[in-house]
Amino acid sequence: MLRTIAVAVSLAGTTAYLPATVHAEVNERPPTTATLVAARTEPAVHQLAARFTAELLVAQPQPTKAYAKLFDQAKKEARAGRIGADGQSRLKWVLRTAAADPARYVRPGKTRKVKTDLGPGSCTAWVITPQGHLVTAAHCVEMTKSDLTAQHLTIALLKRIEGETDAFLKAHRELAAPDRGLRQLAAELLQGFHVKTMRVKSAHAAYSLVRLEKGKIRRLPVDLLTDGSPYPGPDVAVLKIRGVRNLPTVPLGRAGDVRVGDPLYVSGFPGNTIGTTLSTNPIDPKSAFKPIFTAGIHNGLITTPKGVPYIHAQAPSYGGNSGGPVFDRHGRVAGLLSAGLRTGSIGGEAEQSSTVLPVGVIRAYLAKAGVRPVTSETTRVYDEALADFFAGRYQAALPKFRKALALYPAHPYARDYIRQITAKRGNDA
Amino acid sequence: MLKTLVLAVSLAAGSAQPPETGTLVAAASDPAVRHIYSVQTAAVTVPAPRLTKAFAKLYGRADQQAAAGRIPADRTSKLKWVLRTALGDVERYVRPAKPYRKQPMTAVNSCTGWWVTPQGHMVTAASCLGYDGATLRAFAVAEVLAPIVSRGDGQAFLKAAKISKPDEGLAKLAQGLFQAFNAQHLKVSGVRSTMLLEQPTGKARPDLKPLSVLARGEEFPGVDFALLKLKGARNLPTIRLGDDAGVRIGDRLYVNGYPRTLVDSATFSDRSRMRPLLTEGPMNGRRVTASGVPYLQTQAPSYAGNTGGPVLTADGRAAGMTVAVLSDPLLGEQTETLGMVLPASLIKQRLGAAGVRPVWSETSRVYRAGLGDYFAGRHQAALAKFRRVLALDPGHLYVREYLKAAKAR
Repeated sequence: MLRTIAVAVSLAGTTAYLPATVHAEVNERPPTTATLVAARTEPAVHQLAARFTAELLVAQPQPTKAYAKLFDQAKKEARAGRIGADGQSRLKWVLRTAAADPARYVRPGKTRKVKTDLGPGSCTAWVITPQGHLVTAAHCVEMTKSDLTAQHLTIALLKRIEGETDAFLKAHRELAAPDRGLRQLAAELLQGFHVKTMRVKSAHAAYSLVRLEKGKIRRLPVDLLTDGSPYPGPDVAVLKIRGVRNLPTVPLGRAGDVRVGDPLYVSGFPGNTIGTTLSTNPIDPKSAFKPIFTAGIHNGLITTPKGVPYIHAQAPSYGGNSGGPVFDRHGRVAGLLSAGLRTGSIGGEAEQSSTVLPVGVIRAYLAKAGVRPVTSETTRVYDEALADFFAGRYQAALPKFRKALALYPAHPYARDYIRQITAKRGNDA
Repeated sequence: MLKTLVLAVSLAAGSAQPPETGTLVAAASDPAVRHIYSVQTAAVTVPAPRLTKAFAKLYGRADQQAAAGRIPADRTSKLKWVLRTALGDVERYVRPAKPYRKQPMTAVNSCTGWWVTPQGHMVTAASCLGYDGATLRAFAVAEVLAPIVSRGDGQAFLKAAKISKPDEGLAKLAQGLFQAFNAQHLKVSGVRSTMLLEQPTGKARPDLKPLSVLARGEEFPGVDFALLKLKGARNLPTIRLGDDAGVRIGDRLYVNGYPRTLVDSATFSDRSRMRPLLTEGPMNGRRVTASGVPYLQTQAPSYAGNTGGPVLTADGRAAGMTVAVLSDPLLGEQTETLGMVLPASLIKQRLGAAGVRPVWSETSRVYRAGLGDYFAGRHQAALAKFRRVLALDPGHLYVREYLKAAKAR
């Protein structure tokens, strides 16, 4: 039944979607506030990918003499009737006893290097200078050292243990053939050993801006300039794209511009669209390179125990929205999206309880990094073009969109508007 | 530095922009919308488990099973067989005996309530008055029996059987047998329910003041209404009751209250968890429950903890009260946006039956006028009204901040 519903939904979605794109009709209605805010800000909102890699030193497990002696003890246990006398029961007893004190029963042998990759994490970042200064959340670019170590170790562990378990049990083939129970016990023992002996040799983080250029996915390398600390600290980071100019930007508001009841708009890339394939994701990845825009009011101001203020906002957000800009009705940044609150009854994250780091805190971090937000010439021209476009002055808008495109040739939105206006001209003629 | 920022954010409420409707609805209603708790204490009693003769005989049968090669011959395997067999017919193998074991239990729930008279009459939902018998029993089984009593019983049994290092499966089986027995013979008695009002003190720990229950309706899908009273109160801020008949589909509704998403979150400071959050959404339609009670449905997000809170219209009056959210029919989980609102007309009816006339208090009237001045930038006029509010209700939770902000201008 679920499948039928999914099909019905996607069909409905397709029919609703097609006419709008095929005709690229210029809509004559005056735009809503949200339409304007979305149109003005989307060129500066990007998908940010973070990749964490590491090199670990992993030792080969070597059973000790004490381990060998356990087999004699197991025989005694069996004779006393405390465990079964069969080989499997004895081996299980040995493994269980060894797992309780892995350091005693397994010692490190030869050390090998193992590379781990935490895979691409996806967030949202936004441009505040023509030279490509970006803002995102600290938790998008920073993992605490212990978190990072733990995650790399887990991945490396899984890799190692899968291969090692059977090799380890092979030595005891005459006692019992490996089954699920035995594998689990051996894995426990090996995990205990590796957790104690594994070391992170070097860890590396790389960030890139992911976008579509001429139909191809392109990654622009990004450098981290400064960051606060992940939620509940001030969850902000400042980055810079290398070697760019005339980028579309978004303007920053000031602390206190927004209050309870005001509309807020979240722009970003909900869901981890990087790395998902068409077979698992119903959305064409190429259409996922434009941000999704949600709206909802400012519900109240809250503070973390560290005294960091956050805005509680009703605009829905999801994983992948992290770091994204939250705009006020004038299209100025009021804050950045940090997290969603958890709900006890649903058990997961609530969709409409977003926490937003206010722009005042962001400005403080920008000042610390010596970065002054500047509206780019591209954005100035583009905003004027949009104002003409939404007022129906298409002929006035056209040269302005063309100028924006000339200033910044990778501007996908200016290109779209030019296409819409020229198509309309064709229709009218 | 961060402290200065907080101040800057809250002070700037007097910007030149005319306020959004929601800004005024929140500011005017916040003082009357309060965080309340139900605290239930009870005694959980279970008899001691006595293993029967039939249970003792199981050991012999386990030996036979092992001899026949159907189970391994070691003690752990045999004991597992014994426990598994006993679990199949608990009453036959475990009998209640003295002494009875007694454990205290405390169950706490968190809700929203709102003042409707300056003398401290508070409206909330009947479902906020504490858990019913069946829920309390389930709570006792999960929170008292499993982690404390049955766990101890299982350990004692294995100790008596001289098993020093039981594997996980054996420990689980032993605990499971006694958990089944204990759950069957559990008695929850001496239930005492108390309603408490959270009174912020400016420090991390609030005061808790007792509220008495004057009237109670029936939980959703009934008329989910309750009337509470704070003793010796005067000049409290109140919420005006409105008229739900005039609310049309598509009209904007505002939910004010204390969602547990925030209240239970350790990531936020105690002080910020003591303030309500306002959510907004259209009225979606009218519903009548299976028991014949009319409800409004709204899309304004609400969560556990919002229960009992007021649902306001653009003019700041209560069109009803949040009492429940419907479940997602596919996932079976609670939604955020299918809110059930008990209409104001039913609330008025129940208040009338209890002999209580809802009043828009002097405190709230003056405060509302002060807010109007404040948000229009008439700070001198606002100042005088805010001072009057403070004189009327010295315990007012919000007016001091506005006084400070108005003075600063």
